[in-house]
Amino acid sequence: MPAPDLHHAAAAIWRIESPKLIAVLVRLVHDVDLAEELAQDAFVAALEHWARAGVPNNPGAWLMTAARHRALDALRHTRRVERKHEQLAGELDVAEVASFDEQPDDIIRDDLLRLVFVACHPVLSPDARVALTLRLLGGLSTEEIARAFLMPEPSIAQRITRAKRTLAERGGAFDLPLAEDVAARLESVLEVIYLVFNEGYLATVGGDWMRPALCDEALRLGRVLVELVPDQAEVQGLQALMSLQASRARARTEPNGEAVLLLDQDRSKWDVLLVKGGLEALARADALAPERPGPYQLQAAIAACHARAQQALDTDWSRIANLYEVLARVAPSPIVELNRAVAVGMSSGPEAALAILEPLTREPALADYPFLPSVRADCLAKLGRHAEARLEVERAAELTKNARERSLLLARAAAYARAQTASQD
Amino acid sequence: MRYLILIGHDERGGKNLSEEEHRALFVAYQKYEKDLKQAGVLLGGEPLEPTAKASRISSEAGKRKVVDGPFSESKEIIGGYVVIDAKTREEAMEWAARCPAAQLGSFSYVELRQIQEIPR
Repeated sequence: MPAPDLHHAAAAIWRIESPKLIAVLVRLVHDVDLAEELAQDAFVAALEHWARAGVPNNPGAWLMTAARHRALDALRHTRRVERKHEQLAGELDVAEVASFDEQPDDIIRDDLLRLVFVACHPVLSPDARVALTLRLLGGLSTEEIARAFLMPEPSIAQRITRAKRTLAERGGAFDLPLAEDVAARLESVLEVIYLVFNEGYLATVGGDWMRPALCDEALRLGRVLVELVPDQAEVQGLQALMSLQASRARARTEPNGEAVLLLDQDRSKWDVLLVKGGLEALARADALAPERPGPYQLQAAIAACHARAQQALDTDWSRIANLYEVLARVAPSPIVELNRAVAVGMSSGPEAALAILEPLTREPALADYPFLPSVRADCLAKLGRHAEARLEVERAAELTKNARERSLLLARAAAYARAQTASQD
Repeated sequence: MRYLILIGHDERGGKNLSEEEHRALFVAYQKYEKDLKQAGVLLGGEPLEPTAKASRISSEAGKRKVVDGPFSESKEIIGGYVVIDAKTREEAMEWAARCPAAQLGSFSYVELRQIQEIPR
């Protein structure tokens, strides 16, 4: 049992080093499960050694050497088994593993990138990709992932086991994608990171409005990806989008935990460093793809319109409406259309917005989406149709699963009811 | 949580380094920066100019008081800083311990400070 100090340091060292260790091992053994096992073995050996000799200056190099030796043993063992069964030796080259010494940086970089693509492989369901990415690249334990998603630990463990099996059954899952396929494969990676971010930012389950740890984790993964593939506009676009949204985190809740909507927020509470970083990432995205911006870049551009407005009144709503129009062409979805309606409502008035919202009420994808009746309520109230507005906002309150959001919606229902009474007097 | 890693050193100590030692230090910082970036924890950081270019500004009896560097009385100075995002204090400690200033030579050290966050 290591000393308490080492015990604490160990968790930190694992979080820092395990992605690199597993990344290198996955290249060598072509098996996520085995790679993880070997990395953990190396780590246990390291802890035993460090408990006696102290933590070295470069624990990463120590672990890498120990992991490499274990990979070598595992490969020799596989070779023996394969020979016994008179099978062809696989593409695993023991000599190659034995010969490499200190890893050059660009190999580590490729290994990390490979691990990103493996964890976010399109054959896996988005949920499985999220769990595997947090485990392999975030260095989070199954328990930490389960806690973050408010799920039972065995469910997450099972999800990860199944994902590993799927990858093992799928040939070629461990190859780096060809240069021309990188952008397409990145889509699945960006989706995973944004899912993690949104689960933290929007907290679709539970009593809290936000779970900041997940936002931080997503921002960190985004920074890793920016470092690994800096020349992809959408990678920069996603980082810009997450930074700009996260910059408002402090302004999104009252001290008592109540939610504060974007236009009511105290903008002095927005994090200037995150705003600055977000705008810089957006500028890089715009420089990389000035002609045909992707969906993350466009959403970041929309977020930037809010970030640039000193006060809510200064918001350039017609620019936002235009950006949503482009976004609706690039990535059409009822949600985008709904947001476009909000922007049009602000720039051209509630009647123009209601015209866009009308067909959306028949959209099955939005049938349980509280934001639609909430927006309709807002437009109706602006037109003085308070009775209808109240019905809509009450419907929104029924639909939401978030306790904080519900209380906000019910407060609006009460306000519309008062306005209705006042206008009747 | 955000942490500030202050890089402190004895200004005269640095001057005694050979060209080779300077180069080794430069390479070590490049590697440190790369590691921080690949782990996604680096938020910012810069080396600072020597205190010969520094000024200390305060006020005395309602009047501005400026003292230009170098400041003879202080032996140790801040030579740079790194800002990181770490999940735990232990993780921040681990990154601080890996800073070349904490590993190379006895004339330098790092000081780890947590940045105060306004509760969200």
